[in-house]
Amino acid sequence: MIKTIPKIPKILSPWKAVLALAMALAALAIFLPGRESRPALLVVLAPAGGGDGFPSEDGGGAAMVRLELEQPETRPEVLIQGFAALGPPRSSYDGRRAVFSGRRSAGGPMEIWEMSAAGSSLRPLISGGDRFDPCYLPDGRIVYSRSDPKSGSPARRTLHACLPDGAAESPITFGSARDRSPAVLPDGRILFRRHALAGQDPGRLLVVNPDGTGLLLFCEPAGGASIAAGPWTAGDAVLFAEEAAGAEWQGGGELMPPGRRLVSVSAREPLGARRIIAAGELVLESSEAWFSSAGGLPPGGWLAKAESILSSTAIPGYEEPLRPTGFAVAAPRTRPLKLTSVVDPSKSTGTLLCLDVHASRLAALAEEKRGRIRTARVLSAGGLLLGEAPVEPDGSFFIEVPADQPLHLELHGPDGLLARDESGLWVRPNENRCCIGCHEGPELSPENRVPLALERSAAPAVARSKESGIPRSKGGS
Amino acid sequence: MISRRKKNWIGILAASALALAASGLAAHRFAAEHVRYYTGIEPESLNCVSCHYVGHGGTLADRLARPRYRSPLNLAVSADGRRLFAAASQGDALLVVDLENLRLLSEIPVGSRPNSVALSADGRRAYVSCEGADSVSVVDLESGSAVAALPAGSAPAGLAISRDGSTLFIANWFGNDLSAVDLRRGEEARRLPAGSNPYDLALTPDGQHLLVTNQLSFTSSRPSPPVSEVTVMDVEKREVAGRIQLQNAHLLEGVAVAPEGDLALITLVRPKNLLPATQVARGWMMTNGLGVVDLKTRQAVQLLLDEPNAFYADPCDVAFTPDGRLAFVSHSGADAVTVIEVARLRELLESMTAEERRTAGNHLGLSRRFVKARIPTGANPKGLAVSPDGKRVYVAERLADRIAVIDVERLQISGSIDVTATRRETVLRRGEKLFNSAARTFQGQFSCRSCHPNNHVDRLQYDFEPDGLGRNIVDNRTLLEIDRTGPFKWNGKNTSMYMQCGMRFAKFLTRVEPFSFDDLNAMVAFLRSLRNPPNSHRAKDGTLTPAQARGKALYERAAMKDGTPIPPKSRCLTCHPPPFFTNRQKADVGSISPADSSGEFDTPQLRNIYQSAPYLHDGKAATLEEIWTRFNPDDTHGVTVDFSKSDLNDLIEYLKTL
Repeated sequence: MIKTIPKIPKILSPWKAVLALAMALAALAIFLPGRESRPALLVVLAPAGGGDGFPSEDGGGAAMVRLELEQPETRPEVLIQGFAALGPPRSSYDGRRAVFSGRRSAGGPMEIWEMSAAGSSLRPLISGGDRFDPCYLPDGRIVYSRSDPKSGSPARRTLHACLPDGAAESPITFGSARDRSPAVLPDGRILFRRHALAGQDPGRLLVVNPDGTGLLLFCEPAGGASIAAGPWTAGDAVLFAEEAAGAEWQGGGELMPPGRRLVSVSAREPLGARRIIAAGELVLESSEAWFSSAGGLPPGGWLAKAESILSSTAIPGYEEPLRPTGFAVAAPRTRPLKLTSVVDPSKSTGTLLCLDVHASRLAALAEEKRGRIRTARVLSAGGLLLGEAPVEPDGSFFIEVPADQPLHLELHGPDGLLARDESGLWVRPNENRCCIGCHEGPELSPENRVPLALERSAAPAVARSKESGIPRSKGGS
Repeated sequence: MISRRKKNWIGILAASALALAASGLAAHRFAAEHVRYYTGIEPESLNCVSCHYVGHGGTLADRLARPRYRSPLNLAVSADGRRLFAAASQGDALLVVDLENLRLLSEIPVGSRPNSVALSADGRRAYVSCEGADSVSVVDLESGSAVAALPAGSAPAGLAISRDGSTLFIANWFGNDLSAVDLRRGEEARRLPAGSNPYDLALTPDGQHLLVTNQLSFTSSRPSPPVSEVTVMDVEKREVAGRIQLQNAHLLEGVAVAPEGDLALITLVRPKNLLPATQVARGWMMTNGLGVVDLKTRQAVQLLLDEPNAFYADPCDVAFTPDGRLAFVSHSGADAVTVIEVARLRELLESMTAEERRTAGNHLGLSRRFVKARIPTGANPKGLAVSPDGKRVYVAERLADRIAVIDVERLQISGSIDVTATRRETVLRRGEKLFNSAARTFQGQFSCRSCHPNNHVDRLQYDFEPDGLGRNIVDNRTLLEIDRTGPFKWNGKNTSMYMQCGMRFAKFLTRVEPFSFDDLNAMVAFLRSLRNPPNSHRAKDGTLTPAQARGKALYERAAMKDGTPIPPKSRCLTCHPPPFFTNRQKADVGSISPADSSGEFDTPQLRNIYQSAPYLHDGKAATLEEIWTRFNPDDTHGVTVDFSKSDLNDLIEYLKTL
């Protein structure tokens, strides 16, 4: 009996097999997640000495490394080195990109840089002038703090935003103040810190919509303290550092200087319970900020391992020990809803509607007899009168004002000036800015009633867009 | 060499291809323009199928499968705590749940659109109010079947049984009254007047009084603020014992009385309709809270459940634990339950001055003084029920088709009872979820339903921003039958619901990014599915009363009483022709107000018009009568100069039947 050896069917010719392999490899390259899609910790490292334990705002970092969160035992990979200064990085909502401010060489400007979370595609987004603290907005734009040398005050900073490619830079805050550290709240608004340029201003945390409308007070430091750093957002938590003269840092530890404390409040109710972050307590959310308040990280967990690895990491070119000064978790996180905008660049004015000037935390206004506040005046930052509107018996007034410039308000009675607002509010073009009162409490919602200022006439009084040359009033609060 | 015949064929084919391409290009251009015109958006993700098929009732799979949802709305627990009964609002059934094993035991068919459940003291019978049947189904729980139907008014909702078990009180939601049904005789013993759209009922622990929440405010026109009522009934005398009015509040739905009998909690929404809608932050559109009623003084204080930067939309039911220590509030728009520490609430109230009590309803920071926890739930939490031992709270997650179980000790969801009949989410269901959710408004402040309760109107007027502050005030319009009555908005500018719910809706109302195209399609499909409830003024056989018949003749007349012809443009039928009694055109009927930019307004539909007061574009006419007695001096809105009072009454009687 003759046995025949079965013939092996010829499925692929050699060249077809090579082609199939190449296609499979290409498919793998396309569909396998890249390194930038894997969760990682981006850490700015700076030479030890100096700094205060908080993420640096104005630079001071010199290298940036990446730690794989899923494999914290691996050595950190150096992404950037050779910069004279690096600000803290912030990651995009998909965790694939990071943006930061950096000074490439000593004496050069602090510029906005972007790269993939894996460190590739490093590029300057905007050059020329100092820009700090960039972070991503829910609509993909980038917001940051910018100094304006032309203003004559190098300390002055305003928030600006630009498109993802760095184009179309435009201001979103106005005024002679130091606006810094923008962070995005879970509701999509920008939280930032403002200090007046004059005097020892303790600072305030304000919120503004990404288009620059809707400026509101978020919270103020407590008990005579000042806000020294932050804010940072981490999920529902908003963190900032308070500094009170003579106060002891409750957590102790080597990274936190005496007199400072890290405070956590809820984004939902910032005037609610304040929590002082204790030493060694880790505040970590699936957001862009995390902190170990002082005394190192709690034992266990990947962050502790990360800290251990970082402390023993030698970065080529740096002889002195480095310590972390700024962090970002590069991992996907929930993007807040994008907010819509009514700003119309073709317009040059907006309106101000105040429901009741007596609704105020200022005793001078709250206790003033109704009907005695007769006029609301709008003045430019230079103190010159732009226009005025009558205050109705119910305390309301309605006035059209020039957009995109800091404005001051004065309230006048029959005997002259009663109160003056120096905070420097503004309206954006086409914004109808409404207030419950003048410095009303930040937890008040408006009473449901038609303000007389609208009931009598739907046309606002008009403030001239050019200064009239009338000198500002004397006195007032 | 190509033959001549082949050449001809090639030529014909080439010409055909060219013609096909040209016509395809033209069709594409037409379709793109069509989409731009009707939606106001670039035609990137919408296509013919999405708008003209899916947006008209769902996908092919939706239509073939016709999945059925039960949608539990309100709950009741048996006295022994072993059974839970749920009104399946879209399943036309009473659901019976085994609470020991947390599973659905049975489904007992009842009347159309069940709303609430009340159990007899002996636990043998359940009474189920059926909105769509104008009756209350009597369910024998032993046999597991509906054995009778008790008469009720229009759209019965909340139920309560007197302590002696003799009387069943029924809140007739659309009838604006209360039925007192003698349970021994099975007859309606008395009809009592309530406020505006009575919804829920609660007996005081002594059984002497019945509190009635009225969902909508009384009809008011700008600048008057909305005022809603809690009606207090004397149970024994079966008469109104008091009326507690809450200013600047509406959507009063859930009510519960503390076991101590000294205070009652009422869910409410505080609208800001008199302010220009320029922002949402800080509760500028609406806030959500409670009315706390002191039952001795019958004074109410309003408190907000919201926080300064987070809102808990559409509070709709409230329940106390038996020890009175905690109260639970469901928020159907926020998918959450708020837990209130009652002792702290009492402390707060006692610490407040009279002025603080007056303004407490505008303070967003007070909730942290008495709110103990917020518990996330499934979609659209509605009715609540507490177990007799006070250890569990049950939450009807209406649009999740599920009943959640809250562990009162841990204040967490500890389990759930799946009552779904299908896992499939249709396009319509998705639209219904979107409509009832506040997740797509800034800080979750309100849902579509907040302004359109029961898919209808809230009876309020609004001042929207685009055309200036204090200008072009508009009355809210119904969503019922909306698919057949376009264009939309009072100025008729929105050509489709895609435009109505699209970019401008997001820009000027919700203030957050617009719906995705899939969500927009689902929302439109849901809106297109909305239909009017049965007209309670129209006989089922269509016959008209003598007054209605006389009114019909007046409505359709072409000449005045003296024979003078009425010009066509002044006849009712010209602008309000059947079937929806709108010609879908704009008209100037002389109703312009000083704040209006134009006197021309979209002609409204008239179906079930008796339910949508106030009237005219800015709600200035509180009643149908006022349209002609106050706002038609020059016969610009139909010729009524020769009408007697009885003629006008007849006309209105007929209008109510439309």
